[in-house]
Amino acid sequence: MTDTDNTVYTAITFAPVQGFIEKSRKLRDLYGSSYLLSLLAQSICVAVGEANVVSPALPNITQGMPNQIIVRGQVSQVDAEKLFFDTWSCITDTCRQWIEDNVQGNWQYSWDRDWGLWAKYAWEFFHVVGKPGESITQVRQRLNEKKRSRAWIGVNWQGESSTLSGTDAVAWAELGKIAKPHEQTVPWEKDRSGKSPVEHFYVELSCQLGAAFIKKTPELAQIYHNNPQRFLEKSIEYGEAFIDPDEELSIPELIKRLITHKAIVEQLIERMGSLYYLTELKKQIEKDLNPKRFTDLNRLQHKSSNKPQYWTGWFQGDGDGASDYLKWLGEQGSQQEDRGTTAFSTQMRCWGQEFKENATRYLPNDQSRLIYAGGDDFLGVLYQTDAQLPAKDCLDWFSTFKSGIWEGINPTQPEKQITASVGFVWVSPKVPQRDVLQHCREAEKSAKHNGKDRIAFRIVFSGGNYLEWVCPWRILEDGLFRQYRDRNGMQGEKANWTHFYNDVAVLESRHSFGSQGEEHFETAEALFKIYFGDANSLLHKNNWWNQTNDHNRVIHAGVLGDEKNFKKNGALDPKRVTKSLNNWVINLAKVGFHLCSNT
Amino acid sequence: MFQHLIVIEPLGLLYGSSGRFLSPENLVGRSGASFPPSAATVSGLFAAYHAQTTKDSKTLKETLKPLQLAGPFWADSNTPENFHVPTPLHCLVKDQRIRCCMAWQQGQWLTWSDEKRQWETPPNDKFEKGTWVAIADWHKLQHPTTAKEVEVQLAPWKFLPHLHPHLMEDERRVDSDKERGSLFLENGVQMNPDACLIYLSNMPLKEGWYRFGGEGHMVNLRCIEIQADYIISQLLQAPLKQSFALITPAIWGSNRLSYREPGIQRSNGWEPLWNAVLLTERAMPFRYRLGGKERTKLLSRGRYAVPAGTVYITEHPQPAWVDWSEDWFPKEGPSLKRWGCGLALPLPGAIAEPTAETQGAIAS
Repeated sequence: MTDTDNTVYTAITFAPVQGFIEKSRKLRDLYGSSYLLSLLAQSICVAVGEANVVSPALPNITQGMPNQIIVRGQVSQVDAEKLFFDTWSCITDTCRQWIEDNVQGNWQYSWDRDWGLWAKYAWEFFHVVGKPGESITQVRQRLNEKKRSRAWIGVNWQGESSTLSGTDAVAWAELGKIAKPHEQTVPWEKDRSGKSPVEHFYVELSCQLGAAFIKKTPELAQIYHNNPQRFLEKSIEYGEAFIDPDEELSIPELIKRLITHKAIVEQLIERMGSLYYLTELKKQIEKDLNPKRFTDLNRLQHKSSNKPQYWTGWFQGDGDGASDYLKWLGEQGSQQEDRGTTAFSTQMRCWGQEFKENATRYLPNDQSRLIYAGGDDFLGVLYQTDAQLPAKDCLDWFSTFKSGIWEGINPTQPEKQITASVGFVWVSPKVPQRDVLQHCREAEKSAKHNGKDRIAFRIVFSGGNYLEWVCPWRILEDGLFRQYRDRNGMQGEKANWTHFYNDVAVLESRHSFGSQGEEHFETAEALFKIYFGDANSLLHKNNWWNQTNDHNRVIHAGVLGDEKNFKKNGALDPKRVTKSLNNWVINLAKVGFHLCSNT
Repeated sequence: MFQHLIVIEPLGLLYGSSGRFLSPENLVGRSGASFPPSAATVSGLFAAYHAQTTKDSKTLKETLKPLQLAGPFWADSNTPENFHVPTPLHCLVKDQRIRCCMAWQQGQWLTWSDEKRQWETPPNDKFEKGTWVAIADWHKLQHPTTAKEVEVQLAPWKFLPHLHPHLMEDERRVDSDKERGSLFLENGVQMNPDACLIYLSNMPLKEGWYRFGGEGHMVNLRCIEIQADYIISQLLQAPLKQSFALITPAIWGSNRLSYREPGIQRSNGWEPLWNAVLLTERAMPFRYRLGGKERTKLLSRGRYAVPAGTVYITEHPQPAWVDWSEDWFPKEGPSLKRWGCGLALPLPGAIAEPTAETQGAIAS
């Protein structure tokens, strides 16, 4: 690297990312949105010349492409923006064209204008070119400044809204045809068959997606091509994996689903040329989202309700304080920042790729799957198709998560510069998918909020209420749950958690932990020692607080997390400490009971 | 001009949902949560009240024509005049305290450092969203030092998932369709019993019990005249000058597109009126039910709103919100100014003064 001091950096990002992912009903939505975000980020990296991309490193890994792109050198805004939107229009055109060519019925397509609006206004694009000598941190900062104004333009809509997000117009062939406000309900008026034109459209769309899937899958095509009746039945079945005929989606939501269909990706490749990341996308879709193997986890399976349904475990997590680390790098001089940023990004992306690519090697059960892993972000689901996966198995898996998976993948690499926080949600089968995802996000937030380098366990019941307990990784690794000894002296598998659970319930009802503002810790501490051993010093003062290094990485996680959070005007607030310790013990009893009891 | 405070005290659980109200799928779960109800909902309350006493729809229309509302806000029931409004986004809030305030200076947002006695780039950190400040503290938000004294409040309501029997689509009977189970999860909202919702209105409304917030839920409604010495009446009259903050969501744009500031549609596209610098957030969907003769009201056009709390720095001075041209607002039947969209209060402190003066102001 020569004369780094005069290097100019360009930072590019786009939005919305969180908002784009969070409106999800099916797993397919999640996959679809994360593929799309990766594709778009990838298109920018390729366009600006991958050799110049500082972060994300390894642009030829397509998985989980982070959407903030740092480029060494100057990239013009006009060029970057054009390339980005060209890719996006190509995706929207492919989806629209595929539907128009394949989904025929008693309607005329008049939705071009709306597709055009979404092609133009779906994304906010941000771009900053630094001045010579400005560091990556400074350019990042300027990009954040620019984002404060946002850049959205909203596409208004009329008539009913998408059933998925509750906003944006339902996409169907004659969208945009009716202008008068009073006639907006016409497409939803039922005909003699009891279906509205919109419903007919979605039935046909779903079925054609299924048919196209069969035609693109040689072994299926061979079985059904001579049997139109079976072909139709199977088309309907496979089609539902993509879009349920009951759903009414908006244009962007439709794109998310269609991008997970190999027939559509093939057309995209045709249009854009065989770029390696598109070819890679096709491979991934065949692997991850083949409806033949994808039917085993559909949480809206109300149609085949005679099948028993089981509790599932969901985990979502990411690295703690990556921005603290990057900021610290920025203080180490520009050369080290440039190199360090790339090295850090490489390490995280290699990790994400390995975790995802070889997910079965790392997950506790071969049916469980990883939905997303890229950089330091990950989301997965633990379950079993034909039996209840014991919650205890999940707990055991997480007990070695930090050493085995967070630090353990690519052990040849240096120790990670950041720790990880995870939210784990153990959820009743009756809870809708998007609530599960919301709980995942909130649980992850809890883990971070309570001091980082830890996991939040959440048990979510079908009524929507939940229990939560947050615990540093090292305490799980040290075998807290193995140390539990019930009143009969039983440990391990045979230990009865009801004892601890009942004691807490009784003591709570008698206000034995104190009541508001008057809490004391003696009861909880004594109870803890009864069940976890007299010698257990976990709740001792020495174990309360996090210890951190010079870039805020937690090197020893405390039960209560960050001491700063418990200070009032510079002094420790003893009431808050007592309350938090009490809650920690109380919630341990409740959550432990649900995770460890065999009944 | 607003002359009344409409004080609404919910009784029991209210429902919060958005989008497709009638589809059971959308009532399931917490993701569609939308609370408190918008000013448009209160306008429906006015319409329902006047419809009882007015025979023909033409007179009703005339009666309601001048109606203007704004909200939602909330207050402690004992001090409705000191209601809470969304915290302007130039305040960086953490653990319910304003840590620092950003101000616009020479092309960037900066924060004042008391220790170093200089302006610097805002801290790169995560800050709290969705907080509220009392209207009486509005003047304190003007200066970086006094802003830190302002107490930031969290909303006095919480979402409460709530199990319900599934009702049949056309009857008030439990739908015992075994396939999906006869229970569904609804997103209830529980308000602190000492808190009330506040809306501003230019027309009075008779006190009493009303149906509000969907599903026939009852609320207690009071109407208080806005006195000249209420802080809000002074703030509403003050010209906004070049910097101001929204306390309600703003809707701008054409029928087809929503924008972040008002503008004029020209043949070659949309031309912004303010050329403003903004501090804002993601767009939020904005929709309500319109009048209509049928039992189920028609849905308005779905639009996107600039969220309350947004701070604008405009190229030229702007008048008080009441004096804004109706042309700036989209029309859907009435102009959207009726729902108090984009109600803004002056925020001179959002522009950093020249350094010497700033220090003078802080010293004084």
